[in-house]
Amino acid sequence: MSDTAAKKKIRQRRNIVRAALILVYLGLMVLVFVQGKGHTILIDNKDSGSFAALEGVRVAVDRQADSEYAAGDRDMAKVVGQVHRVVIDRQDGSAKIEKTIRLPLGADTVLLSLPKLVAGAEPYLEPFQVKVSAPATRKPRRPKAPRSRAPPRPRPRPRPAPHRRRTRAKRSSTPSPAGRVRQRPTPRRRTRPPPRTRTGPSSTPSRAGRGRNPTDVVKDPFHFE
Amino acid sequence: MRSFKKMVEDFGWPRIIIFLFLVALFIGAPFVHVRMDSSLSDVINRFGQNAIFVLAMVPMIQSGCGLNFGLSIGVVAGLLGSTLSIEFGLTGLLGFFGAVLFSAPFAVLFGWAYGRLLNKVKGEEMTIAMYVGFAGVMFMCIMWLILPFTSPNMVWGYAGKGLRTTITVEGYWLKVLNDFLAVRIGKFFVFPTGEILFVALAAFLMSLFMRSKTGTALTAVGSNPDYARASGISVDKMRTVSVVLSTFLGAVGICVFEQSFGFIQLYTAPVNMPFAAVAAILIGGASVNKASMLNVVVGAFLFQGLLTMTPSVINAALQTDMSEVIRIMVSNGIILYALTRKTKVTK
Amino acid sequence: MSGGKSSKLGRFFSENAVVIIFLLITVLAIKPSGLSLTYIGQEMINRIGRDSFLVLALLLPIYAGMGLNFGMTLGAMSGQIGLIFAINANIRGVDGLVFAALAGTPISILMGYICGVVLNKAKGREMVTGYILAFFINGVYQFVVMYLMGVVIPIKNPAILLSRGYGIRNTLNLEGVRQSLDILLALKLGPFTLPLATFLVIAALCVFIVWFKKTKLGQDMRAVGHDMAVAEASGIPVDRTRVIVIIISTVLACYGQIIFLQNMGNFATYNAHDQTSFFAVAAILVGGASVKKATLPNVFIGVILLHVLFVVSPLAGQNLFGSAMIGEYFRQFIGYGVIALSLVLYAWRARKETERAREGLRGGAANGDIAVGGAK
Repeated sequence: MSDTAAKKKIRQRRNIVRAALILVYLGLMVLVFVQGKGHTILIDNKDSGSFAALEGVRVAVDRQADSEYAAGDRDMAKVVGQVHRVVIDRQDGSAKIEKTIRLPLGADTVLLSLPKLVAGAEPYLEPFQVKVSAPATRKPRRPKAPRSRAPPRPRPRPRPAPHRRRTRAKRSSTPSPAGRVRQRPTPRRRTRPPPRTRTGPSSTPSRAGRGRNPTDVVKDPFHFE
Repeated sequence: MRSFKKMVEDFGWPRIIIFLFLVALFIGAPFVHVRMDSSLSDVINRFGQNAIFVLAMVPMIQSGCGLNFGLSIGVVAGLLGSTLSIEFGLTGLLGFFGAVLFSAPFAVLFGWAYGRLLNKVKGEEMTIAMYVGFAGVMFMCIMWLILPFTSPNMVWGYAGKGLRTTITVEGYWLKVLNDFLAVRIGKFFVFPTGEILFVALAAFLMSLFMRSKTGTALTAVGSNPDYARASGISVDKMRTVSVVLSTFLGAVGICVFEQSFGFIQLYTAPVNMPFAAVAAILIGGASVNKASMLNVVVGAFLFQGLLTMTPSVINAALQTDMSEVIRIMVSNGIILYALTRKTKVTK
Repeated sequence: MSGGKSSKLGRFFSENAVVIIFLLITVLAIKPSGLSLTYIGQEMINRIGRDSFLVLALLLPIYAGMGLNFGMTLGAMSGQIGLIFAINANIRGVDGLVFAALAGTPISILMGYICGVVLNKAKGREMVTGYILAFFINGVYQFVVMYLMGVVIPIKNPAILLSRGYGIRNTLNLEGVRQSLDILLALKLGPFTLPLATFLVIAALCVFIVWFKKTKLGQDMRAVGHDMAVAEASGIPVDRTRVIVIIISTVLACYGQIIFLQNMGNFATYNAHDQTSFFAVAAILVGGASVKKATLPNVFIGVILLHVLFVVSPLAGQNLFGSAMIGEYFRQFIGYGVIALSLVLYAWRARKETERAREGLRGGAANGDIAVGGAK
């Protein structure tokens, strides 16, 4: 009966290897997920609660270039990973404040309240719900995007923070999740759809909905790049 | 009961399923506000358009050359004929038959060369046929750009040379077959008598041919090459004959298609046509090495019926355009099914 | 071709005809294209990095006698779905690529299994069946990505959905992961930039393939490729081995497509996989492989030759014929033509081999003609 015993051992070993493989697989997935997840931090320099907005500070996230914040400003920084260092320079001779923040895993975009962070009050982070505007509005034909868009040559990350623009305090601006450009809150514009990648608002992909062409039985296999 | 079961088996489950599905679509059509008569008219029209292509599959299947994925070569010959017909300004039935006539020499020439090629690669015909077809179409694309056509209906406006992608046959021979003795019932139903008669005639001629000496020799070559050889039949010659015939029918088929559809489509359009015909004949019950007239008719009807009804009914029912996706899955699924069957012959 | 030196030269030409023809056309086309050698060189480097992995995925099925695996498109589609998930979760850089690869792996294993089972049912017609299967699964893919994503499959990132609320957009900008593998270890060598990390990955795959061929499974595959009946008689589970080969090939195609897309930077959701098998098959055939035999050098020679021609021919066509369209069509014509030519040459050569073997058996009698139904 050593034959069946040997078979059992082989089967056992096989199952152990399989289980180990699955564990490695899951572990790797979790690892790259946590390590590589990109977040957008909206740095908010507004009065929040009992903490007043700071005046004229320069803030830098990780190793990105710093930006100037007047009271009521909001800017964003794109980062990768969970733990980040925020350096705040009050530009009045006092020492720079360094804080380490830990972003929640779930949220893609978080709102960081500068005053709260500086004062050390919790919670200074809150997940931000990006509103995607309705499809009916037309995409704004502004050529502003290409400027800050990455050139087609590979660039090292992290990318430097986008150029900051003077903005007036505006509550209702909905920043774009995909674009790198500072949202310019113009008055009266309700919601601006985030600058989309190349395709315009198309409700159906290219193939469907095309006029009934009897020869289009099979999807055209020779559509060259 | 047993004979019924045998009948079902013979007919093949996929055919029955598709037939029932088609019937269901027809029944369901009025409920989603799709007109039955216009749908029926559409189906019959498309059946007529594509039947000759499906017929073109038969000779090569019978002679053992497999499914003619290289039908594009015949289509291209037909396109040459049609463009010549328009170039010479022929109209009406003369225009149509002129197109067929002009395509004939090209079809025979291309078919002969293609047949010679296939003879050298017995056993791997289908894949090679596909790529030869594609390469041929691409080569013709270059030709369409440089051949010296002059008719203002066909060349690009600006440059004055090089053919346009789609050329209308309106004013030349649009629907000349369709309208011949056409029966019109109400506003939406047109029965294209001429076209159906033409298809019937072609099928009849084909069945006569298959019963003739050459035809039986062809079938012998396909079903039992050694026996054929022993009887003194030249395998290669018969195969070449079948390829030439198939190519010629492809050319005729595209002419029939054009007069019904209304446009001559050049450049990369022919590339997709073989797949439709292959799917049709397979769903008609043919296998990779046996096909009959019944397969052609049933297959063309079921396939085109499916392709017409599914998008209109499902889109109307679901309010979304899934037609393309469904089309892809259905037509390729059918071919796949046939390719994976053990070669069991159905009537 | 009768005896002695001329037949050896003739054999060399007929065996390497495709490579020679291609080389000739390419060299002829370089001058009229007006492109500098530096540019061509850099393009070659890029293309090797981009496409070699996909072509390498074709090696094992050829080895196992299953012909050209047109079903690799299934792997490509799996990789694309993995990439969609990675973009959805907004994972950036190489981590995103690894995540996509991991997410795509189970899908591609499933796809490979389906493909293998289907191909087993169509023995002798694997290539056509694989081709049609790719189209069929393309339909399924379209259905899943166009109608199920966002509805049944949760998609969190609204930027990648269509404006109607479900279904993925036509083009996805891969700005998070674009070129991330390429620039991970970029080395500048004179006027050229080498994507070392990508090359390392490709080298790792080559090593894996070489090692794999030596394992028992690899030897089994070779036996199956040689002669299925003999392998079956030797106790090798032929069907199972074939399925495993296809699964491996599909998974490799999955990773290869991810590498391809990260280099491209843009992802045409519904079309990106259309040309994948065409390019890979053309490349390996141009490199001198046949339906039954393919080596590592075939892969790289093929990628270089094919892509150099594809880079220069549109411009050459434009300058020679005054029309860019002609160059474009010429490119496609050459592409399909070379596959057709290779297949024809292979089939023709295979028949010649059996004829020769048969003649050898017969002792060179003159009735060779009738027995093989020679062309009349």
